[in-house]
Amino acid sequence: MAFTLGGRARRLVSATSVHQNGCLHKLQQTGSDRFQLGEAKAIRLLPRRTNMVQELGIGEEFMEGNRETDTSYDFLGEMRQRFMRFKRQKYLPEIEKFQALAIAQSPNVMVIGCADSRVCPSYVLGFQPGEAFTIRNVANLVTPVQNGPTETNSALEFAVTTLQVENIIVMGHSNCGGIAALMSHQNHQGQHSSLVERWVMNGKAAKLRTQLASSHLSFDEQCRNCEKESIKDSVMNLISYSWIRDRVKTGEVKIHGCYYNLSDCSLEKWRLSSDKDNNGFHISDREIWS
Amino acid sequence: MGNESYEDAIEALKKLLIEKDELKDVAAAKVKKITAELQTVSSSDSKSFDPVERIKEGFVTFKKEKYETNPALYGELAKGQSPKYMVFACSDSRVCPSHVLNFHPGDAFVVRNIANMVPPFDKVKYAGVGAAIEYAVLHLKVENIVVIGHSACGGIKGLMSFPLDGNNSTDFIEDWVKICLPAKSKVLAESESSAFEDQCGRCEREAVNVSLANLLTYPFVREGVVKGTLALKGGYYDFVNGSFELWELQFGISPVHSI
Repeated sequence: MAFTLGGRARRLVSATSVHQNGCLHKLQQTGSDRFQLGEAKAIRLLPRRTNMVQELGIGEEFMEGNRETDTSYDFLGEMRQRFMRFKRQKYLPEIEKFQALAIAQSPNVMVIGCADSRVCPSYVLGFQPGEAFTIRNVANLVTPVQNGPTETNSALEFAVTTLQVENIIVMGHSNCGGIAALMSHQNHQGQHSSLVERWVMNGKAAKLRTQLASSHLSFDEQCRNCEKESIKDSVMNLISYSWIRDRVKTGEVKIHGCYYNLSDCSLEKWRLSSDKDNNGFHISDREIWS
Repeated sequence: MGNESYEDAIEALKKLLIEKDELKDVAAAKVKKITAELQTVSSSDSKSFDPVERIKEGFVTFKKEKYETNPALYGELAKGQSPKYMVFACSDSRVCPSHVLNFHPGDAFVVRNIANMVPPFDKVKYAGVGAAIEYAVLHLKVENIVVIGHSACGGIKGLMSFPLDGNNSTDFIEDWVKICLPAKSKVLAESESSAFEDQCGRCEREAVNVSLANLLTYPFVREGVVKGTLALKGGYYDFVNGSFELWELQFGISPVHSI
C-alpha cells in the first residue's frame, strides 16, 4: 500500500442519561458528518431494512444522515435509539435488580451458542441480564483440551472455576453456515484455504459420522444431521476438561445440549448423564418443544 | 436499617467490597438471593433453580410473543441472514447486546468471549476469532464491526491483577487476557497512582482500542476499511451508571498538497 494508515480512536459522543441532554444536543449538530471515513468518499451501502425499521415505522430520525452523501446513514442515531429503548423498557423499570447486578454477577447457566445473528441464546431461550454467561463462536464448537487454548476454553475455565455456574448448555441450530462450510469442504488433507474452513474442521468427526449414516439424504438434510452430531461432540469435548468432568461426576455441574430449528421454531433438548457403573456418559431426558 | 435509603445501602456495600475483597463471594451469594426474591412473583415456596424449566419457559414465550407474531421476518430469516453489524461483546451475563442494544434476530452477528477481545491475526492460535471475522466480512458482508467493552469486567480485572510473568495460575485465562497487555501498560503508565478501580475502568476502554487495532491485522478487514465498505467502532456499556459511549476508528487520505 502506498500510504500508511494513520488511525486514531476518537471519542465522538456519549449517549448518556437525561441530565446531559444539553451537551448531547450540541454534539448532534456537529456529530453526523464525522461518519465519513476521513476524506475518502466512502460509498455507503443503503441501510438494509431491519426489524428496527418495521417496528419504529419510517425512522426518519435515524435514516437521515449527512446530506452531502445521500447513501450515508446515522449509526450514532440508531445506536442511541437502541440503547434508550433498553434503558426505558428494561433498565429503569428494574433499576434495583441492575444495581444489585452491578456489584456482582452470579449466573446459574453458561451457554455456548453460535454467532449467527438469528440465534442469540438470550433472545431464543429468554435469559434476562444476569442469568446466563454466554460464549458465542462460529458453529458453537467446543474443542477438546488437547487442542490447546481457544477463546472458548478460557471462557469455560472462568465460568466453571470462578463463577461456578451449575449448568452448561451447548446450543446448536439449523441452517448453520459454519456446518454447511464443514459439509461442503472437500480437501481434508491439504492446506485449508480459509480461516472458516480451518476452524470448522474441528467438527470433522461429526461430519464423518453424518456421511456414514446419511449419505443417501440431500445435502440440506445431511447438514441438519451434522448440526446435531456436532453438538454431541462439543458436549463430549467439554468433559475432556478435568475441572468440568470432575464436577459433572459429583453432580455440581450439569451439561445440556439443545438444537434450535429456526425453520419450524422447535427446540430439541437433552441432558448428559454419568453412567452409574463405569466412567462413561450417556444422553438422557430428551424432549422436543414445538 | 429502616431510615437508610436503598442508595445509601448500595454505596456502603460497594465501599465495604473495595476495602474487603474477600467478602465478594459472600456478597455474590447474597446478591443472588436478593435477585431471586425480587424476581419471585407470588409463590412463597422457594424452588431450586431448574434450568430445563427455565429454558422451556423462555423458549415458549419467545415462540408465542416474537416468532408467531412476526411470520414475515422469521420466514425471511429461515432462508438466510444478512446482518449489518458484527459485534464483539463480553461473555458477562449482564451485557448481552440483544438486551443492551435491543438487537433482534437478524440484526447482528455476535461473538462473545472474555472481555470482548480480538486477538491479532494468527492462522493457528485463536483461529475461531479469525473464522468469525472472515465469515462476517467476506460472506455476510457486514458494514460495521463494533467492539463493546463494559464496566466491572472480570476479564479486565484479571488482566490488571495477574502478574502475567509466565507463571500462570490458570490453564487458559491468563493466556487469553494477555492479548490486551498493551492496554494495561498504557493505563499503568498514565495513571500509576490512581485507585485500582479507576485503572480497571480506563483499561476496559483501552482494551477496546487494542482490539480495534488488532482487527486491522486481518487482511480482509484492512481491505474493507481502506475501500470504505467496512467501519470499525468501539463502545462502552456502563451498567453502574446506565450509560453507553460510542466511538470510531477513523482513517483517511488527506487532501493532496503540491509542495
